[in-house]
Amino acid sequence: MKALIVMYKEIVDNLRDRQTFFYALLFGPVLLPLIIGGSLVASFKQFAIDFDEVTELAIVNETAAPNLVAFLYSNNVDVITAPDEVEAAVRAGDIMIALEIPDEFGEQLRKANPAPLTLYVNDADKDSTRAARKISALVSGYKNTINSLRMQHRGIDPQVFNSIELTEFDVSEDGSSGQLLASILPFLFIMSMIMGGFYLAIDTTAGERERMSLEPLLALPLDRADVVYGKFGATLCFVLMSSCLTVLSIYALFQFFPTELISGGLRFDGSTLVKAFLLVSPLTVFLSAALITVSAYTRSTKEAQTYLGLMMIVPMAPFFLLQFFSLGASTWSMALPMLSQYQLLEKVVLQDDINQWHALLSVGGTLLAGLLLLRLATKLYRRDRILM
Amino acid sequence: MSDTNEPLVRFVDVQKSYDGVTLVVKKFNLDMQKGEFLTMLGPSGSGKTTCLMMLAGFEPATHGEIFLQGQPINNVPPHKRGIGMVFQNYALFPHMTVAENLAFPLQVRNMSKSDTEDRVNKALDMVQLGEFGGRRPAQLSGGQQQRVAVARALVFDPDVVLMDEPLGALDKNLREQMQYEIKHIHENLGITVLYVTHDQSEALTMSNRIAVFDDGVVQQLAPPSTLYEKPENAFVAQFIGENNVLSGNVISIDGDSCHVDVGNNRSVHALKVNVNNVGDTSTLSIRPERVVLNPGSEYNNVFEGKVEELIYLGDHIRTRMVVCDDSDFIVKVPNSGELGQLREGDTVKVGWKMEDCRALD
Repeated sequence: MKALIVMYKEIVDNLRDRQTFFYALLFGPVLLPLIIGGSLVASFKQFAIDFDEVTELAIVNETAAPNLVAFLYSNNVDVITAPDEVEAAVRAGDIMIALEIPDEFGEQLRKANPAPLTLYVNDADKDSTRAARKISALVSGYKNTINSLRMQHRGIDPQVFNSIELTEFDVSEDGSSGQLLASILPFLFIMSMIMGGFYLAIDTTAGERERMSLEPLLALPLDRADVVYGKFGATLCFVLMSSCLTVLSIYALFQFFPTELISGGLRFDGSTLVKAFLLVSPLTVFLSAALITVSAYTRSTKEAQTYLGLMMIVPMAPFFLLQFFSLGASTWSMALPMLSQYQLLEKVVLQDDINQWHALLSVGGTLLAGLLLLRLATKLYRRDRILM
Repeated sequence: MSDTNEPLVRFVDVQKSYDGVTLVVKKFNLDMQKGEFLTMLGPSGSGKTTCLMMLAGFEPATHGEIFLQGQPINNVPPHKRGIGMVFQNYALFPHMTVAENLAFPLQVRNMSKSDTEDRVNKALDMVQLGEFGGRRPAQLSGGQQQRVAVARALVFDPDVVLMDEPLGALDKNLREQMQYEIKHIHENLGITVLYVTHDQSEALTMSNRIAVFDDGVVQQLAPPSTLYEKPENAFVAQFIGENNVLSGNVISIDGDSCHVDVGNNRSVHALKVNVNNVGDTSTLSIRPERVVLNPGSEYNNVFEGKVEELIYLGDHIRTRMVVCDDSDFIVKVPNSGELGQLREGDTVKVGWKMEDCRALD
């Protein structure tokens, strides 16, 4: 009961603190998914070629290759006449990309020699490189067509040069971009949970020690365990609020995510996110206890920020571990907080079946680790040097 | 103060060491009566705050016993001691309002909402902050914040209130004003206060008794007037108030008085306080206001003094002189107009009575 009074005090106290409020309920759950999701969309869009999009291409000497120009035009390329100083114009950004067709282009084609073309592109400009990829792909297609026609003209079946045809069948049905997206979800959850409790944990432990308001608190008729449970409860509330908001913001984010960028097997709908939240929720206990314990160990806000800043790296470890190594779900990995949630959430997003024993092990292992940390925090609070 | 003999707080042979080697508090004994305002005064590192923290329960005593209302409390955790505390930095909860800060100690004591409200209002009125209940600490001045801290320490009617340099962060005028306010609160409520400070004027203004600390030992425990008028050793004489010091050897002892040779065949007749034998070295303590210029025949000690510096301080002229080879000998000359002719470099007779000169260790 007394722990609830402390908890209420800490919640009210910190809801009024703008810094805590911003980091717990705005930065972690809302801005972080937006930043990461936005970067992903931009990145995917950058490397993807959109053949439906109309691309403007300046051509020098377009009359030298009317068939090529017609082919490009039929593939959503809007041809314009290039200025005199074409290289300077591309460098200055006046035109995005330019194709120079020499006078001998037609002559070389007729002689069955390689016909030269020059593409002016500004690699420092993302739009220019993206347009260049599209033009290169189209010209390559045009080249293949001519090659086939030349061979047929000489009575050779083009398939003669196609001795082996290797088909790669991706059984995951989601591809590497899907795998990355699936890993992002637990990463976002864990980061926003840490952000949710970060400042509150510091403020209620190291901060309270620093401004010496811990002495009057400990002089009150409160057992040290009540004090720790109260602070833990307040941190847990913020972490939970943060993760609930994360669910909403991820849901909203994927409503606006380009569907062509999400492979067929991936799901970010409401029921998937609720399932993911339930599986990840034991981490709220573990992370709240970890934040309180680390803060209780430190002597000042600055020290706590340093240690907890390092703690931010911990959620990245399973992320990179799973990106670079093929770690299958196993009994030992399911007993580990964070790693188990990464693996389970990937399965949830990829619509894979979840082993119930694994889920149980993940929940049990994470809660047990959280309770051990909470016990450690209480022990730290019972030390005489808590006030030193 | 209570007339009963049972002390409210008792320290018995208490020692404290942080490293197991050096004692920061050495054999501390103290009896404190209910309703008393007792100040622990001393320089930084003298052990006074450690004693306060041991009573609060935040520091365990290495040796000895501490009693509260006759019960040993060495093994009682802080939250079960029923002690209110006020700190130098106010230690208020920053994002709670003043009223919430005051209500919190009552809420954890499971007090009803209406009782809590009544007590908070009374406490706010007591420190004249009745209109400020809805404000946050940052919206108050330093003095107002400290009043809130005092009110928070008193709101639950603690057996003892501990104050650890509570006025240290305030400017001089506010500090003096708050000294009187705390003194009046103590008088009006009859609470028991154990106060820690290094400021002697603060201690003299508010306290019933003062324990002067140095190097982990109580040098003297007495009411303010006794400490000032009858210091028992050189440290107390130096620490409390302004003091002229002459050093020499005891050349004779006669009952309660003695003669001390201060050099150049000059002998000072002094009250024997802390010397035992002829030949002992002694520090003579003479308060500046007890030294007179051009003394009459009733003065036992008369010497020549050369005026080195005159500082006008309104009601008196602080005169620094060379007396008995001591170039920092201070005389407070009343500004009566009669001594307006005194000039730097003048040589005048100075004198003091035997009973105003104490032969200390």
